[in-house]
Amino acid sequence: MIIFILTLAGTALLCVSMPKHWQQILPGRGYARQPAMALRALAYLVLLGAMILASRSHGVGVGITIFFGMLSVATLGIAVALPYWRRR
Amino acid sequence: MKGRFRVSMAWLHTWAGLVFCWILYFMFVTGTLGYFDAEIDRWMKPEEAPAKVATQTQNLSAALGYFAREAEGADRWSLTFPGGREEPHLRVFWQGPQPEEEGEERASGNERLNALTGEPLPEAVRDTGGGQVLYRMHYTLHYVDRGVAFRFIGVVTMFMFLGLITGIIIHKKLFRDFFTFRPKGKRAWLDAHNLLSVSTLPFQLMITYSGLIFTVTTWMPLIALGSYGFDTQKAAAQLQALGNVQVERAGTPAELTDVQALISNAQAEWGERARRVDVQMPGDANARVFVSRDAGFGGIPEQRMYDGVSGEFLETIDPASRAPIAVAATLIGLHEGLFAGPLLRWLYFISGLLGAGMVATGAIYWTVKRRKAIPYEEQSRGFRFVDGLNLGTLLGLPVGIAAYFWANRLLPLGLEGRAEWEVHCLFLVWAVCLLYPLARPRSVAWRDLAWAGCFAFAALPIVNALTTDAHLVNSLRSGDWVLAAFDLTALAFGLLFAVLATMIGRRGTGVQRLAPATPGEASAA
Repeated sequence: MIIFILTLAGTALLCVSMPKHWQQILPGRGYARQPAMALRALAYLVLLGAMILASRSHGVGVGITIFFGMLSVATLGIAVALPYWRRR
Repeated sequence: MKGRFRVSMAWLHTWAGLVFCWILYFMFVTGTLGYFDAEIDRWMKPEEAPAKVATQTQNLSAALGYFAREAEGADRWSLTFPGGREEPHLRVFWQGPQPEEEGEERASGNERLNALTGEPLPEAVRDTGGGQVLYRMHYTLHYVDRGVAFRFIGVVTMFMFLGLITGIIIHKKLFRDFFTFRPKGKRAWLDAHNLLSVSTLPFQLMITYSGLIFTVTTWMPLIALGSYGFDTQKAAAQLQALGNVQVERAGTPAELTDVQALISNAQAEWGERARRVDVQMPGDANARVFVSRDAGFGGIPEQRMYDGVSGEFLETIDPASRAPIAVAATLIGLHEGLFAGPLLRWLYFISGLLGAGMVATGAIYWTVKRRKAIPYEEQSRGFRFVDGLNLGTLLGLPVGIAAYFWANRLLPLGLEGRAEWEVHCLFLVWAVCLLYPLARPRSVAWRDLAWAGCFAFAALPIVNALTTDAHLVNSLRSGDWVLAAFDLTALAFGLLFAVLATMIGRRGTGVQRLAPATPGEASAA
């Protein structure tokens, strides 16, 4: 469960750090390159953490397989949720 | 140059994708169900009693007792301890000596035992193909000759791989559009197709490439020919012999050693329980005992070989320690996911469904892109053909699969060839779904079939409750999660189809939106 939350968080951070989605999620604030890059680095760190955690608790082979499976689900979930974000 | 390359790749992606999309959809859907083959088996045999819990010693003595009774003088005894989702019962297998005369059948037996009484389990009351037939369809196509089907599947898989590669090439902004999905407007289907493909890309590449590995000896025979010439028998024998020691009979009888002691020795060595025990030439002075542990990631188990008379440890057999075998086994293991626990199994299942969704959205996008702002009947013949196949397959196949489960519950138990009729039901219902759009205006047909899917899946737990005791109330109360999960998943699919049907009803399929409604449609919609 914690692996999935980490994966989801990492994917979400990655998404926010992209210029296109930055404006979607944080309206009214101009895209700033530096914090965005920091976010992106953080995102990769979190994702890496999730992968390491997964391979620690399930063994390297199975862990990485699980991580990729979760990454798919997280990416899809965020992408589908995005267009409905602003309407809330 | 780069631009032109992309254009030609786009052409290839479009047309190769279109030609193979329906068979790929079929492979994705049935293959995905294969990840729960044992669970589906269980649901389709509701009368089967749950396995008795027994100790390893009880299992072993039940099996050895059975062998002594039934398989005296056999060449091979093999017993698999109950364990995992695949095999809840103790399974025994034996093989008699090679027959002297050519063409004579070799004596053998294959049973599941009640570990407490040592008696074979009764034959299933309900003759059913279960999840296995459904899963095997994924590469045998069921009605087609094995060899032909396997070659054909190889080609289809190759094109799937091509589809993935060309898809990556023609996707202009793979990273920038990573999270892009615009549900409104013209690009919705393309976005959906891209999103499904990109987000599950690791899975899709893995599953397609490892799928190709299965067909390697069929489609690249030259590699084997290089080593073995045209002597395919020899090649097959060598392949068989890998990690398979063949023992010769000495001819002098000798008593079999205490097998339990050997198992304990192996378990102490591994620090994990033994999964299978093989005895070659039991009762002979040359007897050998092989104790195997659970197959790991690659699906080839490590074995320890013992002298069957003295009980001395002889050697460890571990084919997976050879690199080429390990690579092939790992890829095939990844494809089948036999090692996966419940969490990963569900991820496999979801990824497989998303793969089916990827193929489906691609097929629909082909029509969305080509439809013109004219009534449906005036669209080009090719358009109508593709749209009809899309409708009949993308919605028709799931309805057919639901029919397969309905048939399992509703066909009379005594019916001749019952298991085969279950499959006939699947394909008959699918065929009806394929013909259905001919009888109804297209937009209504899409919505109707979506509702049919909703009904077919949502009513499954009800049919189950009416025909058996293995229904949701009972399975939830007794904590039988395999049975409960099947019914709950069926309900979830029903819900999914309901959402789909309301979406189609509200927004039309695009075709409807652009075309002025015909009188029939207007009254129906």
